[in-house]
Amino acid sequence: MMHDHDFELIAAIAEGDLDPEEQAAAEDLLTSCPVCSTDLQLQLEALAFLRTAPPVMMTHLERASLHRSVTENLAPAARSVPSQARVPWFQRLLPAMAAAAALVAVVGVGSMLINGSGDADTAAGTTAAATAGGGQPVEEELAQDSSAAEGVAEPTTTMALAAPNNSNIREYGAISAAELADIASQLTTFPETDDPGDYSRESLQSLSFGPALVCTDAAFDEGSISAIGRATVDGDDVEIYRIDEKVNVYSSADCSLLHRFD
Amino acid sequence: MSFRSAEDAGLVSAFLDGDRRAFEELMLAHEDRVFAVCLRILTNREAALDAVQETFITVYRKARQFSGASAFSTWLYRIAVNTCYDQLRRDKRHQAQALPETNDPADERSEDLLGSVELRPDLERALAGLAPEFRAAVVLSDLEGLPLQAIAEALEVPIGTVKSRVFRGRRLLAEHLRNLSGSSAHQRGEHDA
Repeated sequence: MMHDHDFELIAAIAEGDLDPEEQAAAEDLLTSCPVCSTDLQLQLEALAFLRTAPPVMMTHLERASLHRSVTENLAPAARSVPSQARVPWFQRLLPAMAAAAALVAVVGVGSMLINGSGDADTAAGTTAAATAGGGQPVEEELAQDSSAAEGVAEPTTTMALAAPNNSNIREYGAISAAELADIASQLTTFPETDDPGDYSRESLQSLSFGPALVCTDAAFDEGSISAIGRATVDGDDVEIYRIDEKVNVYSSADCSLLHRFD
Repeated sequence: MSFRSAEDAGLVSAFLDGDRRAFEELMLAHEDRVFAVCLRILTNREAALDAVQETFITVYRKARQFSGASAFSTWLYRIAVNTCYDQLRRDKRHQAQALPETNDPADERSEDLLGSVELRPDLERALAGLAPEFRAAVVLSDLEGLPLQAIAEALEVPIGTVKSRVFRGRRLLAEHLRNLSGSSAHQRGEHDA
């Protein structure tokens, strides 16, 4: 069935691009052309189907991984080093997945210990295996991100490296309230910012890639920020800040202090 | 020139003047739509993310080649679609997987790990049943809502060719959906029997 000679007219009818008079005339014409009529029906079915297609979107994790991968892949070019193989996005995800697996292992083994089953050797072995299975630790990877960003200089760079981008905001995704304490204990100083003074108000407010942090003022009022995370706890978005020796968790909705871990 | 186009032109200009943040803003402004186009053409989440990554790396490296004759978004779509075509050509396995026999979810692993929004399985199968040139035309026209002129520039074909591809693509898609529907009904009948 390759009857295409009136396809523009048929498509226009299907899309409703004709005024009522033209539409009526066109439909009269179609009654005398069974093939055209069938084609119109197919166009209408396809359009009806396509118009109900849901939007597609990246997850936070995918987006963060994409930004990191693009930054890393551009760094060698900016340094005029021969180009290296592109890093597939899912390989970039492995360390984060390993970290998540390690966290699950720690939480799982912790609850086993609380319940009186399992032992410390098993816990250590499981955690080590989970970390080793996914490659480098997250801290090491993030340090590499920073050094990679340092080399990005094309066409000419003015990028402020002290300014953290979302590559060094830890994105934890959806977690439960019970996991929050473990997350907070893991939120340690990033290697490239072990001087807490590296995080200035200006640098945090000029973040690129991803949604902006909204609770930096509240956090800075408490002291010097040395590490930042973001998560969705039981459906509510939160920002997590290591401030001096404590970790504060703020609601992204109104920056109210939800939790403090000392 | 629309507000978005004017803003994009300004960002490209700023990027070429050395403002790397302008590139990041361009990426943030367009990455979701590029991802949507790539996912719908490639019907595979991992492949789509790779294509988006490659698209923006190409934009970064070839920004000076953007003439401004068309909108930045049109130039970007052209790169994205060509990247997807390249990936389809490279990955022959994709063609072998284009028409799965079963109704298994598209990518359970991604869905479980990432809690992500997948293409609807019937849409994925229907799109995968189209030849890439028809798929790209239908995606840009009916899912992304681009005007015909922009699609013609993005696909580097005359407008008449775009119209023909969209028309034929829709027809094939509808026929394929009818087949899928008939097949499902047949399977249900066998199961009930």
